Amino acid sequence: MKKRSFWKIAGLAGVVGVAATGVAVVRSERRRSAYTPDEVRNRLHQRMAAIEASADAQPGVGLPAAQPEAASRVRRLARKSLQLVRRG
Amino acid sequence: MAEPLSSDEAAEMTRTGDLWLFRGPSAADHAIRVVTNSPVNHVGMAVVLEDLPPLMWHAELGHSLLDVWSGTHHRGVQLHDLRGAVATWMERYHQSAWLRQLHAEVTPKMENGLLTEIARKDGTPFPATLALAGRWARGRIRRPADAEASYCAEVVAGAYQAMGLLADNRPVNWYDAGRFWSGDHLELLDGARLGEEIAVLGVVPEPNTPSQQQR
Repeated sequence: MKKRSFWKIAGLAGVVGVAATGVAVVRSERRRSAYTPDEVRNRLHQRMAAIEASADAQPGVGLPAAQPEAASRVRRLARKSLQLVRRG
Repeated sequence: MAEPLSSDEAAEMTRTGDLWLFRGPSAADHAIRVVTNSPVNHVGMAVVLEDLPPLMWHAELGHSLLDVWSGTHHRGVQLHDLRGAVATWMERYHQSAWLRQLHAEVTPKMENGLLTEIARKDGTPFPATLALAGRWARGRIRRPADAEASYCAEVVAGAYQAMGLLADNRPVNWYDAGRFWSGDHLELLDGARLGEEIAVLGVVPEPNTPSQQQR
């Protein structure tokens, strides 16, 4: 068992520090451009619009595979409504 | 070999799904850590899409930074320029920061799930009074700062679920910031895993600054 987990199990993790033992894994370089906040916002909204458009355009695509997902969505919805009811 | 990163190096290196953990010096931060049994009191998640600058998806009480999804300043669930958010938390709130890299291939489909989640949740205020009372009754909330600590984790858990990294068999309000610390055991799906904490260097906090936590 990791020492960190011991503190969690003992209920004392709140009084210990964070052991920074991670070693950074270098990722492939990304092309970056300079954007103003408004441009960032426009790009995000454009991409979201494209997601919505493709969801509308292909309603039946991947339906068999999506069924378990649909079931879990129903469960999630049920849970959300339950939480809403509980939250008053 | 565990070398700390400068905040700029860390911001350059971070990718979608990486966690940013924070630990502050105030009494409220300390109390949150004791209550949640965790050495950290805040968590946010990096969103790095295409050639856009790195962004931070998190929930916080402050509203000093521009939300780049809504284009407004507001409290609650927010999408910030990551460098700005890290600087605010380290310099203004005097918090220590750590990066946990996500080791998983983030596909365009996962990114789309994340964006849909951002579109849905951005701007959500902290739970309204009645809901807060409910959470308080369940022992989760004692002060507004507690709401931040619990809500920030819900936001990250929701993002992980939206990307299919975390099963949705638990409600997001089961999560607190400490669940995202390496001393806890967060079970990710499809072989995804999180690296251990890498320290991010910032300015040395001034001791007992009275302006701490003023957001």
